[in-house]
Amino acid sequence: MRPIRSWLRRVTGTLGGGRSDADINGELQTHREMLADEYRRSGMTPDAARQRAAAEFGSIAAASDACRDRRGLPSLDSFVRDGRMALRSLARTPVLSTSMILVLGLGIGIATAIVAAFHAVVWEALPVAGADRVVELGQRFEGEFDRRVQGHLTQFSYPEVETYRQATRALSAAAASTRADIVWRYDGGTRSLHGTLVTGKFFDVFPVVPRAGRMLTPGDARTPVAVISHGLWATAFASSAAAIGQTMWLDGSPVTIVGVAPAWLSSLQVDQPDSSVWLPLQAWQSIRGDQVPLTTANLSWLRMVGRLADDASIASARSEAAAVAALFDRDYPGRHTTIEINRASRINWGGFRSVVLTVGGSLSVFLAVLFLICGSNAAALLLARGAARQKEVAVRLALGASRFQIVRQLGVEIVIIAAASALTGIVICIVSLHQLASRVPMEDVLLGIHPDVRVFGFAFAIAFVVALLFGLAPARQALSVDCLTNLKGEGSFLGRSLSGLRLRRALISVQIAASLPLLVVAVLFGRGVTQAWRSDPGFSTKGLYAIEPSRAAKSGSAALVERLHVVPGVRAVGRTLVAPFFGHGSSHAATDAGRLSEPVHVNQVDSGYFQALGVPFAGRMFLSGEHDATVVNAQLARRFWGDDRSALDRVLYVPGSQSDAGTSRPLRVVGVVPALETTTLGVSDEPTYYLPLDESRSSSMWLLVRADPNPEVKALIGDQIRATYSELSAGVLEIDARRLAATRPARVAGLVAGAVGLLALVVAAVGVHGVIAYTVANRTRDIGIYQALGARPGEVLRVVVGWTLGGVAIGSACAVALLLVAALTFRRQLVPIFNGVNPLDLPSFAAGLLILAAVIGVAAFLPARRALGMTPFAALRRE
Amino acid sequence: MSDATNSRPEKTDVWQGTLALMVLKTLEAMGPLHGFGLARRIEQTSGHRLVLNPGTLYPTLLKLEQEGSIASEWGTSDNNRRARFYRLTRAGRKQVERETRDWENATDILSRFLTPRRAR
Repeated sequence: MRPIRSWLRRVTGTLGGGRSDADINGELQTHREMLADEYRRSGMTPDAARQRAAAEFGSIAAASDACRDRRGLPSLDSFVRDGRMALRSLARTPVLSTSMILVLGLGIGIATAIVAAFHAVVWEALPVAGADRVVELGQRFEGEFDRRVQGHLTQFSYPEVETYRQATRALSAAAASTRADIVWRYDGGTRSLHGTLVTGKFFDVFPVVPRAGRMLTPGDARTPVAVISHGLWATAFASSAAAIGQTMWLDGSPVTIVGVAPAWLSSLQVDQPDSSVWLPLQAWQSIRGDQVPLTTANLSWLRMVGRLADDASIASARSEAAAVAALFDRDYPGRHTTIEINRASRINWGGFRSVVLTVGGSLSVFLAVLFLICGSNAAALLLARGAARQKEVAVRLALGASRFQIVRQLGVEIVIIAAASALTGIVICIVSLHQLASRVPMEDVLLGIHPDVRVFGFAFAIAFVVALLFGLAPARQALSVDCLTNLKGEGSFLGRSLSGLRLRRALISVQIAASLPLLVVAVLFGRGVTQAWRSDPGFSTKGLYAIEPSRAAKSGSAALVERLHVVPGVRAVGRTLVAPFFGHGSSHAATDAGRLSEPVHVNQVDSGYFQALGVPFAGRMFLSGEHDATVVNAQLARRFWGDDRSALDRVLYVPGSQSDAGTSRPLRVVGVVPALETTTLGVSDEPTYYLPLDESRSSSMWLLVRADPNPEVKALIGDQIRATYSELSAGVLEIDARRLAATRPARVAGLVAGAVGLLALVVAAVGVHGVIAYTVANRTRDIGIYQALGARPGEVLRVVVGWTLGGVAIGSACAVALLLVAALTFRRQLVPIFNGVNPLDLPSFAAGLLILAAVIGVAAFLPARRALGMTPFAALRRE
Repeated sequence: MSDATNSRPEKTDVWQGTLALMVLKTLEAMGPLHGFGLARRIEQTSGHRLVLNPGTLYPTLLKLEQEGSIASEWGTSDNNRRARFYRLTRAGRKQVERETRDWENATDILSRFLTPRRAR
C-alpha cells in the first residue's frame, strides 16, 4: 500500500497538488535562519552568523530542487514540460502538423475499419446462444472426381448431410440450408423474395427465439409452412399478430405462416442477400415437384452446420466425419475427401479456415502497404520539420540540453502526433463503417461495431507502433545535429544536410514503390473490364434470355418449349444444365481409357442449346438419346489433339455414370464448337465437353431463349411461362445483364486499387513537393552562387530536384521490378482476375508510369520554378 | 522514478534508508519537531559523527510524509519563528516498530559475519 500511496502523491505532486514551491522554500529558509540564530547565540555578529549559516547550509535552490524531485515524479514532470513544449512547437507549423495527423489518421482509420469489419464478420461468434459450439462443415475433394455443383464445391448433398448427421455423434444437432429465390403472389401483385430452405434441426443448431409464433421444427419437414422475416412482417403484414396462420402463395402453392423470425436472423450470413422467408427444405422440394436433389448424392448444394455435443470437441467431430467421408469415397474410386469443421461465422467459407487465412493474409499485406505509405510520408514530413529546426536544436544543445533530452522531446511530439492520429483514425473508422453499412448487405453487423476498448486499443497500438517506427529516423537526425555549424547558420550549406536528404529520398522511393503497383493494378482492372466488355464471348448476349430451373422444372417443361417456339420474335430455345455465366460443371477426361487425368469442364445440353447461343459448328450436333456421342469445344480439341479439325471422330474417355462409378466410358466426338467465354468474361472457357441431356434430371435444367432484343418479346416470354405454370410470375433473366454483373467484382476492385493508389500518389507528391520546397529554401545561397558562377538553368534544376527525382526513379524501378516478378510468378492465376488481360500488359504499365510522372512532375515543378526565377543577387542577399 | 536518483553521494555518510529510520525514531522519542531541530537532534544522537545536509533531510521528510508515516503542519518555534513541525502518525509508529525489528535483524546477521567468533 505504502509505495502506491507514495507514488500517487508524487503523481498529484507533479500535477500541482501537494506542497507548493513557496512552502518548501519557506521551510528551507527557516532552517537557514535557525542556523544563523544558533551562530548568533554563540556570539557571532548577525552578518557573520548569516554568512556562516549560508556557507554551511549551501544552496537553497539546490535543496529545493531535491525536494521538488521528491515531491513529484521527475520523469513525469519533464514529460509534462516536454508535452507543453511539443504542443507549442506543433502549433507553430499548423499545416505540417495537421497533414501529418491526417495522413496517419487516414491510414489508422481505414485499417481499424477493415480489421473491425473483418473481425465482426469472420471471427466474432454468431449472435445465437452457445455460438461457440456452432460449427460449419465443408469438404474438399482431391484426386479424380466428377461432381455437380450448385453453389460451392465445398457444400454437401442431401444424402451426405443425412449420413453425416446420423453418423457423427460429436454433433448433437446438424442441419443444412440453401438459398432460393421465391415468387410470392398476393392480391394485387407479385413480389420476389429471397428465401432460406432449411432442414429439420436447423433451429436446434441456431436456437432462435421467434418474434411471434414459432420457428420451424423437424416435424415440419413434410408440411408447407413458413417463418417470415421481421422485415416482411412489418412491411407486408403491418406487424399484425393475425399474420400467423395466414396463407401465402409462394411459387404457386399455398404455404401457412407459423412464425416471425427476429430481425437479426435475416442477415445471419453476410455473403447472401437478406432472407425474407424460411421454409422446410423437403416440403419445398415437393412443392416444386423436384425430389431429385434430395436423392442425388454427388451434388454440392447445401451448406451444412452443426452443434457440438457438450462432451465433444471440433477435433473429435472431425475424426468422426473423416471416417464417414472415407465410406463415401469408397463409391468414388480415385476421389479423396477431406472434411473440415470450424466454428461458424457470418460468412460461408465452406468451413475452411485456410480461406479465412488467405483473405486475412491479403488484407494484412494491403494494410502493411497502407502503413508503409502513410508512415513513410509522416516520417518525411517529420524529417523536413526536423531539418528546419536544426538551429533550434543546436541552440538547446549549446544551452546544455543533453541529446537524450532533445530526443525525449521529439519522442513526446511523436507520442502527441500518434495520439491525435489515433483519435482522428477512430473518427474516420466510425464514419467509414457507417458509409460502408449503407452500401453492402451487412448493415446491422457493421453498425453493430461500436468503438469499444478493442477498437480504441487497436487504433492506439498501431498509431504508436507506426509513429515509433517512422519517428526513429527523425530522432536519429536530431542526434546528429552539429552544434557549431548550425549556430553559425551554415546548417545546410553545400551538402551538409545530405544524410537527411538521403533519408527523405529513400522515404519517397518507398512511397512511390508502394503506390505505383496499386496504380498499375487499377489500370489492369480497368482495361480488363473494358476489354472483357468489348470482347466477343463467342455469342451475342443481346436478346438471350434464361429461365431458371425452378421455373422450368414443372412437368410442363416440354409444353413450355413448344409454346415459346411459336412466340413471335423467339428464334431458338435450348435446354442446358448450366446457363452461361451461372457456373460450370467439373469433370475429367482423357484420350486413353487407362487414366482420367486432365481436369475439364462438362455441361449437358440439348440440340437447341448451340442454336440459342448462335454458335457456328464443325461436324454435327448429337441426336437426343445418342449417349455415346459428345461435342467438345475448341480448347478441348486443341488440348488433346492439337487442333479443332482433327478432333472429329476421335474418342474421348470420361468418367462413367454414377451407377458404374470408377470406370470410364468412351465418347465419339461428333462436333466441335468454337471457344466461348461463358464462365469468366474475357477468358476463354476451360476445355469442355458437352453431353446430351439426361432427361431424368430435367428438373434442374435451364431454358435458354434466343429472341429479338426488345422488351415486348421478353414480356411475351414471361406470359408464356405464366400461361404454362398458371401461378408463377415470369422469372426471365437477361444474360446481357448477367454479363454486366459478372464484371462487378473487377470494377469494384479496380476502383478500390485506383483510389488507394491515387491517394498514395498524392501523399507521395506532397512529400516530393515538401522536400523540393525545403531544398530550395535551404540552398538558396548555393543556388545564388551557382548562378553567379554562370550555371545554366538546367544545372540549377539538377541541383534542386535531382536528388528527389532520383528517389522517384529508384522507387519506380523497384515497383516495376516487383510487378514483373508478381506478374511472372502468378500469371496463370492473375489472367482470369483481370478478365483476360495479361498482367505483363505494357500499356497498363505505361499508363501507371504516366500518371505517376504527371503528378510528381506537377509536385516538383511548383517549387523548382521558384528556384529558377531567383536572381543571383536576390539569392545571395537572402539569409 | 526510484529513490536511486535522490541518493546521489552527499557529503554526509547517512544512507537514505537509515536516515528515514533515524527521523522516525527521533520523532518517536522527542515528539513533534521542526526540520532544523530534527537535524540537530540526529547529529547530537550520532555524537556529531553525522552531518545532515538539508538537501538530504527535506526530501526524506517529504518521502515519509508521502508514505503517510509522518504528518506536518506550520507552527511557531521556541524562538518565535514560523516553522513546519513534523509528528509521527499511527502508521508511522507501526513503521518504526517494524523497521527497528528489521534493522536489528539485519545488523545481527551482519555482525555474525563481522565477528565470526560469536556465531554458533
